[in-house]
Amino acid sequence: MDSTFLPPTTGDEIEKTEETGATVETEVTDKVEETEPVEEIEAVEEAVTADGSAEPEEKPAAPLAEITFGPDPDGEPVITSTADPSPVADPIAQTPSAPVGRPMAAVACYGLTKRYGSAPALSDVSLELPAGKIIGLLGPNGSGKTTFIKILAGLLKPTAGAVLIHGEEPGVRTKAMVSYLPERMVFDPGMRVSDCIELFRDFYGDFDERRAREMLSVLGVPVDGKLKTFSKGTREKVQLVLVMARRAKLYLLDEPIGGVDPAARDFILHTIVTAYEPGATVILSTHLIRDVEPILDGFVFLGSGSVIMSGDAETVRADTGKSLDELFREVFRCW
Amino acid sequence: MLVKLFKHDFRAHSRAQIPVLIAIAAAAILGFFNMLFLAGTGSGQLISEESDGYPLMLSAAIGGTLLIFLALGAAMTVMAVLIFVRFYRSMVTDEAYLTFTLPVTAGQLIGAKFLSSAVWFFFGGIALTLAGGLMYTGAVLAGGEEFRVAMTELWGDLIDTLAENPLTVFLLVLCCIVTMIRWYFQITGAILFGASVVRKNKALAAVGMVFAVNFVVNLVTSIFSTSSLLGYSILFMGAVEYRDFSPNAWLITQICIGAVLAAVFWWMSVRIAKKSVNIE
Repeated sequence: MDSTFLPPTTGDEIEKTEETGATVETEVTDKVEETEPVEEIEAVEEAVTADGSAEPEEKPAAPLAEITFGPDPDGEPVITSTADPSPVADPIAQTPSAPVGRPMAAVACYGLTKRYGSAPALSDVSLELPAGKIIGLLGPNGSGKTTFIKILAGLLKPTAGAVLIHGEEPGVRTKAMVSYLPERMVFDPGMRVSDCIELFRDFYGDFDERRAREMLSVLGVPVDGKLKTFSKGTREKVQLVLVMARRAKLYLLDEPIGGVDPAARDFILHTIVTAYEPGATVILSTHLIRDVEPILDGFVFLGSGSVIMSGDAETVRADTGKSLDELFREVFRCW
Repeated sequence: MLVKLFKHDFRAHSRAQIPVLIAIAAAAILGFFNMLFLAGTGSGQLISEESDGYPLMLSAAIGGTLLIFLALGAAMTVMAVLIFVRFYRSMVTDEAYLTFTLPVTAGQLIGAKFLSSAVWFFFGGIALTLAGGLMYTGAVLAGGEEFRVAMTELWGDLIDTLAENPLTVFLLVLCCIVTMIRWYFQITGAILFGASVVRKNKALAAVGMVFAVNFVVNLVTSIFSTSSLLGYSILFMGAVEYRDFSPNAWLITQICIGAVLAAVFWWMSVRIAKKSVNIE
């Protein structure tokens, strides 16, 4: 399978979804026996736990673990794992470099946990996201999407676990390669657009000023205009243009289409698709699945701070016969 | 990166501080004419002392002078407050999403903010000095010969005293600089600490922490500043019997304590910024 949205590389955790009435549950291996067994999962479980001492050189250059989608006996979607049986025991202790023959993940996180006081925002999230894809980080409100993105952007420190961006921990070096669009206006309203452009030019070596000016020109935004004189929508567009005018390795777009009208959504999605650097990864968080689905290569469903499901968008649609929007509504059904 | 950070922070300050400088200039011009009025009235050039309107004019002139001084003091206070408001906005509010995603270190961030703030405060000091000079010129022009002689004597005495105590002058200047640096990092450190310990009402927490930290720290440092100020007062008044009292020693102690506190608050600010202030 071409898509490589990798689950925990420890191999001791396998996700499955099982529709039980109105909800879809996610179970880990040690809880599988408590529920209705699924042959595919059991087979994988055996493979994962049977021989942890397998020689690394005997392993193919395939992903350590790969989520696949296939129908269970009841015709419902089941996520199985073809996890490599020789995972690293401690995911946090894994080295940043990718295994031989396997491209380095754009984003890799292991046991990522973030708590605000005692309230968990992210719980033991382990995930690897490939480079060169547009990935939807999808989940209902309060599912931990923004927290996850803030950690990647270097705004928050995780309570536990590790995260690597192109092999580097979040810091000054990753900030130079990550283009982040928060869901808020980050510029002083007293700034002119030209000031914002100058700021990006000064700090981000990958900023393409010509492209930014072109996009602003298409939008009819005067570069000498002050932000406070613009409408909220125009200010948001200016921010989006500046973020997308960077030739970054990773774009983090936090709710870019939240709270904007349908026409503006079209513009934003068009800008994302046309402006992002080829080969770069785009992580786009939203709960407006229907709007973003056409542009997504992959998806991660985040619920209550945990990864509920992840995979290749095209494959899951083919395997389940459902759109991501329909799947999302099933997984996160409220009643 | 430090230079670039300084440039953008300086520019951000300018949007708020230039109107304050304009206000100081306006107050200075008003002050110039008010001093002409005050000195002219006081010396009897504008109105006779026996005239019925004299007390009223003199009261108006004195009241105007007080208002001008109040306005200048308020302008400097506003300037200082704006410096810390800008710091808070860029480090804690929505702007922090940009601040903390710039590819720079926490030390560079805090350092650049300190430098740009220092430059703007220096500009404020220059503007205030020029305003004072303009008002003094007005007073000298309208004050008559008697006033000029009195002023010359006063300045002459002060300059003579300072010239006789070069070490004291040096220590006083050094103490002022260290105290201002300490104040800056004390307040910014308190802002970051206050904002980082709560999830909501960050502004309130930051202001509360500033007051709490200032109260405690200033209580300690005031022992040294009061002692040295008292010592200098005695020295400058020429009280020979108290010459054994060494204000310089107190001042040196104050400088050392100020430098240590500045370093501690700097370290604290950088550490909090590095861990991030959990902006919401």
